[in-house]
Amino acid sequence: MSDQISEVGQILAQQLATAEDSAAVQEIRTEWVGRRGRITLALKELGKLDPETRRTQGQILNAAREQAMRLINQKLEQLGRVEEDIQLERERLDMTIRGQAPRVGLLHPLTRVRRLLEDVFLRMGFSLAYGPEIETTWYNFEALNIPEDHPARDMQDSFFVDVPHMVLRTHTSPVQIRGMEAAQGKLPVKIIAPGRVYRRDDDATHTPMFHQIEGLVVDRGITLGDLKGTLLAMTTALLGDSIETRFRPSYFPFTEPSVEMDVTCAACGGKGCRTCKGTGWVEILGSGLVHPSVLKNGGYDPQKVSGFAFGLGIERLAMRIFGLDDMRPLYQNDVEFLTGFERYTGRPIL
Amino acid sequence: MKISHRWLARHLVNMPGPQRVADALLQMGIEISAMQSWGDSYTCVELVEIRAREPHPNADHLSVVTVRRGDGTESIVVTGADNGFPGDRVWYAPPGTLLPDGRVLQTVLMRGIPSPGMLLSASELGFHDTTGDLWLYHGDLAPGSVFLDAVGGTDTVYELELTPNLAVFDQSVVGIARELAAVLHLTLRPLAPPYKYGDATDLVRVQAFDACPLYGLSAFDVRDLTSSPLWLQALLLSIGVRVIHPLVDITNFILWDLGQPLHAFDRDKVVLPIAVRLAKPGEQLLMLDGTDRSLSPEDLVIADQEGPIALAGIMGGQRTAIGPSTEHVLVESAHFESGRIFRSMRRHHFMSDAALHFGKGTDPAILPVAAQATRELLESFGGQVAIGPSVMVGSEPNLRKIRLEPERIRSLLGVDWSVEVIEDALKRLRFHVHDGWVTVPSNRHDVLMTEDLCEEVARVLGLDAIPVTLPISAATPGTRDPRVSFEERLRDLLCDAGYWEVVTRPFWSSARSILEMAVPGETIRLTNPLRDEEEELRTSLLPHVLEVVGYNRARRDQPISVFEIAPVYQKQQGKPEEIMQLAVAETLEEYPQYPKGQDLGIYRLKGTLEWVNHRLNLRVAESLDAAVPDFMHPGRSVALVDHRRQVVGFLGELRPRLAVHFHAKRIAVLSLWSIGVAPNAATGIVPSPSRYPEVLRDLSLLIPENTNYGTIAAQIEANRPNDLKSFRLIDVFAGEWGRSMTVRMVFQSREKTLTDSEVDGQIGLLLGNLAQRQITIRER
Ligand SMILES: [Zn+2]
Repeated sequence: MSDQISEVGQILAQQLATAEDSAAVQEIRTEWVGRRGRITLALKELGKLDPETRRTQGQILNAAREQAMRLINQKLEQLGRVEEDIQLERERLDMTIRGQAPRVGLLHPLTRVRRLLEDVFLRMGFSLAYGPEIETTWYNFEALNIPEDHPARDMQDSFFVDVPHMVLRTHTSPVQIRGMEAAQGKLPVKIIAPGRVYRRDDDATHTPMFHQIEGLVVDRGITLGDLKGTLLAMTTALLGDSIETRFRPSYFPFTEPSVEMDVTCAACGGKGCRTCKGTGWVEILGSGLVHPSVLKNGGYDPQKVSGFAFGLGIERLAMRIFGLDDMRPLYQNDVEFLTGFERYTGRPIL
Repeated sequence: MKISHRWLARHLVNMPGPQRVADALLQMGIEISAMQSWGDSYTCVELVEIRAREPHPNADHLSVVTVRRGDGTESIVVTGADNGFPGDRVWYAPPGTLLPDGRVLQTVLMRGIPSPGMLLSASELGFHDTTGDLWLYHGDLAPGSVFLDAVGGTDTVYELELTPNLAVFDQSVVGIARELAAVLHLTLRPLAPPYKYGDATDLVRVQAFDACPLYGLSAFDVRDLTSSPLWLQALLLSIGVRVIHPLVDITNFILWDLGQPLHAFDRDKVVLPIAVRLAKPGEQLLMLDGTDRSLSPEDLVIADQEGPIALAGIMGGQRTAIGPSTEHVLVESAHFESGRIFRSMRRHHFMSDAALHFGKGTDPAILPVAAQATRELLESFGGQVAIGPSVMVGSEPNLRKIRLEPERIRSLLGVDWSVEVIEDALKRLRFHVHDGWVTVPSNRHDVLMTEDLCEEVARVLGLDAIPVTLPISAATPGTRDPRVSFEERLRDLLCDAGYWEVVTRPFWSSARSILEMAVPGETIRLTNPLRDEEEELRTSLLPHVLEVVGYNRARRDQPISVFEIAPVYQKQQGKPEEIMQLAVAETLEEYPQYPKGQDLGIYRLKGTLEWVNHRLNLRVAESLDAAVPDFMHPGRSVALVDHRRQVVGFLGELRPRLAVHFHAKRIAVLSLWSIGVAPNAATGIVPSPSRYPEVLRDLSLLIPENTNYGTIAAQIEANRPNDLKSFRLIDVFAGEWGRSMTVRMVFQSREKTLTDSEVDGQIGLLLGNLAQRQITIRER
């Protein structure tokens, strides 16, 4: 019996050995185990035999069939691997060609710096507040202790519009008054107000529209020390621990005393260069204790509460963070320039 | 303001070096924007003695002069000067010398004779002198000395930035010296004693005491005043003030030294008495600078019997001006109300150094000191000086007193400084403290209240001395504005979708318009624009974003996709309104690249809008009923409406003819006119996916003419089969048989595995309904 099986095996193995592709193997399969294959037909003939012979013949044939199937499948699998390799080789691509980048845009650097600032102050418990860009002269000037003849109206040359008693706000400081009014005497008032502001200036470091963030805290017992602490916490969060700062007395009509804050020049690291006019410092913000008249105009009693306020130029800070020495490209929107900010991470939030 | 280190040293005992000066001033709030050395070029200029003088053989007006230099050598120089003869000592600039006017001297051939450098006149050195063409030296310096020795050596000149409050009292050398004395514990040298004014009351009538509380006038007779001494000329030159004539030099010197502007009239031209009064309507004054001014009663004038002779505190008139031959002088030293001078200066658009001082506020107490300083200087100049009649009219205003509130100062600054420390700081700045009251110095018009005293104490003791603290207040979390947060989300989504945010300025002019847009409100105009093309505020954002496209396309041939979310402005019933808009623009050209990109055309921007709409629940829908602006491609654009069916914008392609203006063939644009906060889109619980398999069916639907996909989608929605999970368009065909759209339908049940016959049944029902709209299944 096993002789017959091995004989079948030998013939089959010889046939398979000469088969060069899977089509040839399929032909062999048809010859042996197809519907009309030799083993299949022999199995069909079994019914004509007596039971005893049928049983033994049946075992032999089934074993032969199994063996044939195994040999054929083995061969098919072996050929399949070769053919797959040939097929995939045909699909070869030039893997040195650059892939296509996903299409994603980018926020404008000014938006990113503004959000960074908002985030820092939100974490310190400040709420966001807003005011109109076309502002009344009362909110923009008088309420902030800048009367008609005040020299400070010369300092910030304003754009006037063809609506009586209205200007394009020259700073975000009017939101100090609006913020106090909105708080209706409640304490503390703790707001920051980002927004666009306008001045009649146009050169490398001034643009007729720019962005500021105003900060205001009004509460019982607010001190100049609190102002220093808050601003230091902000600069550390924004520019890192290694940044050096200094405070200088300054002048704003709506704060008294007034203080300006400088940070180490990013361009030269404090050694002195053109950007910092050789001083090693760049000014980043103006601030001070809220002037008593301003507190009164906001509906608070300067004898009972005090406050501090600060105003920070977002462009200035963006220039400091990104190391720019010209403000104008920020408004030209040359996509090539904007792409330059693509890889910039700097601080994690950016 | 420029200030000289040497000049400062005249007021201070133990003058510190320039770096300490700079640090101290910074602590006081005075920024030094530049520090320059003065006089370096004067080291080349040498005193020589003339040995011989011969006429030039080839030129009548030139002479050949032999000079002996300090090292004993002789040089031969050609000069055109009339003076300078053997024995005279003159200033010689050898080749290589840089003169104040910027010339660098060389050896030049003058009519055939080489002349190395030149012999100098006073004006060539920037100085004033009357000895003739060449500046003859009569002093004690030996030949070979350099000119720098004659003017007292080099100097350091500081350029100071004064804030308006400091300009009230710091616009003078003595002002800055006082600041330094306060912060560095230095001793000030005493000033001149007050001038002993006479009682010549017939000289002056003051008719406007409010505007002029104090007026001093003193007469001097002067003769043989030739030029100011070198030291004074050098100090004036170092800060950039021209030297002209001793009388003018003295008034300039005192202006900058003491901060008190003086004015000198030629007494022979004044018809006394002088009146200090408000101008009469229509009065005219021909000023020293040659301009003719029409005056009004808001102007304060100094007048004589014939009319105004000076616009008080600002500038004198020509009629009574002094000249080189003036021998009888009236010197005015006055105190004017600063606001009036400032307003006059503004009204006449007119500035002078005097006005910049009077307009900020001067020190009434320094007025007689300035008069005495004038006299002392005049007497030191080597001419003949006789003191004439004088008078001072008016009185010094009372000194302001503020109650000393040390506790309030401490609590505002956040410090624990003792009363003694606070008082000492104030005293160092010349405040008097007595019995709980602070008396403010006569020049400190800026100090009105305790907050101002806080600033003074902090300046003297230094802001660094104030401890760093944080506000102690209830820990309330910060909040954001929902409207703004919504705009921020919109920005993020548009960036995610591949659009770059831009920031443009809202200035606009209709002359820039390429698109014609209807605006509901009235345009707001700037009354003082920087330039004509920025004369109004934008009423639409899209033109700005398109200009960004144009700016970029003009520079490089690359696709560009940009957006901005920003306000536009308009007037409604005279009131300004600011409305947030969104504008997106994207070029549609295929950009040559490999691998090939998939060109979706307008459908990319449309898809972005639909995605953002879904994500943020903008509730914007397209409407074929509403018109789109004429500048849009009529076949490729659609109006957008909000949930109340109000038109709020449009989406589509710009007419290609207009896209060309922005250097592009085709531009897709999206304009949303107003962005309101939409209610949160997320509702209830997010459903988990069904456990049962999906069944897909692709239906190729034959559609009638003029039917669009929107109709089909609406019909499917309206007759939505029970188990239809989603459907989407996957192909569009057109042939002789008409047009067909293939829609892939995804069926899925949440309860069971759907059988083919169940799905077939639901599709059959749907097809029945579609058939009523002449939408039929396409037979293969
Ligand atoms: Zn630097």
